[in-house]
Amino acid sequence: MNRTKNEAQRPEAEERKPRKRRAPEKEPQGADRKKWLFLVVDILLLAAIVAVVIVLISLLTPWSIFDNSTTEPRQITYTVEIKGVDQASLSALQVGDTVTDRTTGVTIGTVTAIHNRDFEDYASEAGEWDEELGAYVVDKVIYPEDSGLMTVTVTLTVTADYEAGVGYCVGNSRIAVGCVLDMAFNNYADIGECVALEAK
Amino acid sequence: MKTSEEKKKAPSGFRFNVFDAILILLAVLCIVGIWQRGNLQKLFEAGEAMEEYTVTFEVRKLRSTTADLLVQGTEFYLMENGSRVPMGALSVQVSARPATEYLQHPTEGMVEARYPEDSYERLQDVTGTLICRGIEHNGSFLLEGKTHLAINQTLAAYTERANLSICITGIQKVA
Repeated sequence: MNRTKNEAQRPEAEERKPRKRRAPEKEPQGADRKKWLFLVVDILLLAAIVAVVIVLISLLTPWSIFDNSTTEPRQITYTVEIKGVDQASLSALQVGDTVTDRTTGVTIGTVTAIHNRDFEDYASEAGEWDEELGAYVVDKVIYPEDSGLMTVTVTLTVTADYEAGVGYCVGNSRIAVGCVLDMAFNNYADIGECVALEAK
Repeated sequence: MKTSEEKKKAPSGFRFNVFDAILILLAVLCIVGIWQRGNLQKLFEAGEAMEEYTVTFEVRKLRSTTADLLVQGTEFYLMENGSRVPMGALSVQVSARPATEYLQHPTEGMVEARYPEDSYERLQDVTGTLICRGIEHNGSFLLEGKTHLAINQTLAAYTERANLSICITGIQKVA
């Protein structure tokens, strides 16, 4: 059977038709949206866990990242009394020495004055009756000069952090009357007690 | 091919479910908790209402220059586990008298001897009264509802300018 001309041309015509490019498969639009929503939920979950931890720590411990304490710097001058300093060591103490608290490692001031006197201590027994006072008096024992012992008062100046109701601190070192300080000078170390404090 | 109606009916892969709602609520509660942390902290403290008490104390052999710092209104505090516990304020300036101590006398036996004054120091025995807040719990006094205080207890107390070792001599509720 003879094919018609048209029928014969069909296969060739089919071959000449440009093949349609297959369009890349598009993900459904909803899938991107799902990914973003899952991400938001993950972020919320993480934020919730972090927030719970912060709240628990703030409530149950003294530490808080929301610490509202306010401190202001103030220059203070304070006096430390060191008892029983050997006279031979006195020259090791110099005005201008930088003093460090050996307990905290913080620099707690610069020496501005040094005074010394004979070392005295109270007797362990009651002394004589004082008619004027109407009482027995505890005698003060003054160590002799050849003992070589002195009582030294050192005046220091430093800029401390002042907080109302709390007091003065230099780093972790609190400065207050009655404080016992383990001090390191440039060339000397000893323990003394703060006996006076003035703020400017 | 799916019709448009069939596409509309097909369930989406993500649903806003109860678990997500709980998470979001939890996050909001945490934000509120941080914001109101001060008020929440009070819930962990004494559930009973705090009342005013007077706490009397003494300090032995205190330098007179230190005693001069203890004026009316001076605030005291304690340190407990790294946190500051307010102990109230002095109702009046502390009263001071020359420091005395019972010592052995060579001939008279045990006598009360007085510490002398000199140009460097004058030792004093000081007594004071603090007005503070606390509660009574099982017969004991709890300062700020948490720190136990008792008569004859010696503790380290602090003011802005002084460190003191005080001995509690009395605790009374303010009428």
